[in-house]
This record gives sequence, structure tokens and C-alpha cells, in this order.
Amino acid sequence: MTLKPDVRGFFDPATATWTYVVWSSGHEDRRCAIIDSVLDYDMHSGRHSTASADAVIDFVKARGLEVEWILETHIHADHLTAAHYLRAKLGGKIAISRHILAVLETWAPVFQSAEDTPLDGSQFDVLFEDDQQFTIGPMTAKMIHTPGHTPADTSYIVGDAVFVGDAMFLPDVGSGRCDFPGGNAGDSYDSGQKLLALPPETRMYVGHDYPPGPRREPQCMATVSEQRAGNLRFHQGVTRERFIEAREAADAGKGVPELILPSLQVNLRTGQFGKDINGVQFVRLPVDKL
Amino acid sequence: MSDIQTIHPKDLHTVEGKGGVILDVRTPGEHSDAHLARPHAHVPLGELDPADFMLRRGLDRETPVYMLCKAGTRARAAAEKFAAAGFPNVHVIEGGIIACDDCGEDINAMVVETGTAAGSCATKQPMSVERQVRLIAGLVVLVTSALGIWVNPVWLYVPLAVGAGLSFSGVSGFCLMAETLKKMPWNKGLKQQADTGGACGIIKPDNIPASSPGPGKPGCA
Repeated sequence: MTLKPDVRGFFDPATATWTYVVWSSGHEDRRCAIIDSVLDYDMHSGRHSTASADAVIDFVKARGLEVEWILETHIHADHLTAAHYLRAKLGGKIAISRHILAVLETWAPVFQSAEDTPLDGSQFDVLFEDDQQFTIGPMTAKMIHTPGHTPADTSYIVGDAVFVGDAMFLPDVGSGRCDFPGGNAGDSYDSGQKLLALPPETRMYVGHDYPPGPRREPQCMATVSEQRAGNLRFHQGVTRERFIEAREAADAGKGVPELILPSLQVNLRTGQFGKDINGVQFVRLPVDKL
Repeated sequence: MSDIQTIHPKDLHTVEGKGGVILDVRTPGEHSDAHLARPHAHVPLGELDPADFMLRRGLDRETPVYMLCKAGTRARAAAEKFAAAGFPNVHVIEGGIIACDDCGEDINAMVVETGTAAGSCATKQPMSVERQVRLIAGLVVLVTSALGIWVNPVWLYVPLAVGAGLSFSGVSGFCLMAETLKKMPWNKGLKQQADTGGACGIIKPDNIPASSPGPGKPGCA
């Protein structure tokens, strides 16, 4: 029998990001995982806050959970992760795909941040190999490599649920853009097929939601069968060629996310602002590098 | 069903701290006319599937849910649906949005644009059930009173009956006409996959805080 994990989602309206807490309520084992947390950051003032992360902390404490994992699906370019803050407050191991090493190699020179951003990924507690199995309390979990949006995107399968980050969005939204360095529409298609091959009743939890109309409120979940039937980009009958063509046309001329520069450098340090100068931390804005 | 709790509108500020969610179960028309400024979800009572609602919004079984309608009747029905589906932490907001307004809750009221200045983006706003009831009752009284005065006094029994019905609904909070109207196709909510996005997402409410906090207001003891 497949375990059905309990899932609590937290939506951050500022960046349209879903953060998840995953555990098994039917068990005495209270260990849980936190997936894709958010550290609030204001571009103009350079101020950050932990309000979003604190809501997650309050929830974990209220339910009497013990954090075993702090998982990242990828290095986000549109929001900062609170992984480091959460680990300091709640414990747990920060984990991400080993493919992150390629992302580090691409971006560390852009930010000239080798001094406080180890290129061997040692700032993360665990670098998962492809298809690596692990456990969250009583539940077995598995990472699968689902690149396309970035070269290191990971999906996590936990019981009858899968957390896909930006590899796929809700049916009426489609899937993540593929025009970042290392992104690839063909890879995105192949990753989508991997996800759609999961059992039809699998609950697919997405990393963002951008409701297409004013009456559709933010949601976080669609089943694999709903995705197969109606995903804007991945619905049945779409060939690889047509998917790539439509994806590239949609991405052409797209602006970069507002928080891309702070996000990348901070997320490569698991959510830290980096080494200080006389007690002041900085965000670097490289000129003409994007 | 007895484990359904109630919350007074003046305590709504505590909902967020408890990790709870407010669920407005009125019709789309009523919701666009006026809704809470604080975060809330909106699903009309007739479309509400508790388990599906909780799952798609990432809410776990124990998340507190606070039901809101106009005056409390539909909120109680929604709460009973949740309790029957096995959700243990369900609350009814006493007195509905009327009481919330009286207690100084910020309400975003929509000013419906009547002109066509919005061009091809003009989006039709359904009339609230409340206004439909007033319109129909008013028209019936108007026409049958006229018939009673000028044609045959027997017609005057009709406005008499309408008056009795309105008084009854005022006292009891139950309105047969409203209940009937809610079942009409034009009062059913729009489908979840609303495809109204694109360049035309223009239904911008003019946000008008309806009332300033008024501790002395009646109904908010």
C-alpha cells in the first residue's frame, strides 16, 4: 500500500511560490520535510524578512513535527530560499540534486563569489544522486532528475505525491520557462513525460501557481491524470517538436524575474547573504552579465 | 455535528495566527459586491466539496476553517458539510459579513462600471442574489398594487403576501425566494478553470474600506 503523506502548503503571494511541509499524520513518527521555502526580500530597500519562514516554523511546532529534511527542487531565480534560516531554527538536513554543481560552475564566476560559495556544494548537507531513495520519517521517498527549467531541477516522490518544483505547473498554467542558462525545452519535455508516466492518481504538487483569471484562486495540486488530460503544454497528443516550438515562442523576449540576481547568489549559499564586510552583508549586482 | 464552533467577527484577526483559513461561501455576485479585505478563499456553497477544497489548497485535515456567508445560515450548512466529511476544526463566523461590517472589519466593495469605457474588456458582473430579491419583490408589489387600485382589489392580497414574506425572512433569516434564486443557472459560480486571463484581466475593484472601526456600533457587543 502506498503511504499517503499529509501535505500542508504555504502560498507566498509576492512570488507566487508554494512551500510544503510533508509528513505522515497516521504515525507516531513525527519527522517531516520542508520543500522550497521562501525568505522574503525587497529589491528596492534591500531588506529581508522571515515572515514566510516563520509561518512554516509556527506550523511545524503547532503540529509537533520534527524537521528531518529541508529540500530544494532547484536553485530558484525568482525568490530566495529560507533553507539556512530554517535549519538554524529547526534542524534538519538541506538537500538538493548533485547536478547543482553545474549550476554553481555557471554562476559563481558571474557573482565572483567563490570566497563564500563553495564550488563543491559542501554548503548543502546532502547532494542527491539521480533516482536516490531516502526516507522522511516512516515514508520512503525518491528524487528524480527533471531538468529543463534549469539543468538541475529535481522532483521528489513521496508516497502517492510528487513535488515537481517548476517542471510542471497546474493544467491551466502549463510549465516553467526554459530560457535560463542551462535551461532546455527538449529536456523539459522529457522530464514532463517522466512525471506523466507516474500512476494517474498521483497527487502532483507544483512550485508556483499563477492563476490565469481573477476568479481562480491559487491552488497547489492536480492529479497526474488531470495533467495528462488538460495541461496547457503537456496535454496528450503534443509532440516533442511542437512542445519545444511553443515553449521557445512563449519564452522569446520574456523579461527576467525581478529577484533573479539576489536569488541566484543567495540560493547557491542555501539562503545566506554571504561574507560580511565590517558587519554589513551585500547583494552583488553584476553589470551586463545576464 | 455538535463540534462545530463559532467565532465572533471581532476575533477574526486571530485566524491567521492559528494558521486558519476563512472560506466565503456566498454566490460570485455577492462576493464581487463586497468581500473581506483580509485574505480568504471563496467557493459558493453549492459547489463546495470539502475534501477537494482542502487538498487543492494544500490544507491539512486539522487546519481551522472559518465559514462566512451573509448572515450565518449558509456558513452553518457549509460547516456541516465539512464536519460530515471528517474535518475536525470547523467554525462559523457569527452573523456573517453583515456582522463583520458592523464590527469594523475592512470590506472591499466593488463599484460596478456601467459605461463601456473598458472597451472589449468589459466583464459582466452578475447581480447579487440580494439585489435580485429586492428587484423581484419590488416589481411584484408595484404591479399588483396598481392592479389592486385600478383593476380589482383582489390583487391587493399579493403585496400583502409579499410583505408578510419579507417580514418573515427579516425575522428568521430564511428567504424562500433567495434560496430559489440561488439555484438558477445565472447564479452558479463560474468554472474553476476560468479562462478570462490574457490581456483582459480587468475587474479591478475600487477598494473602499466600507467603515472605520467603530467599537460603539450596534451588533458588535
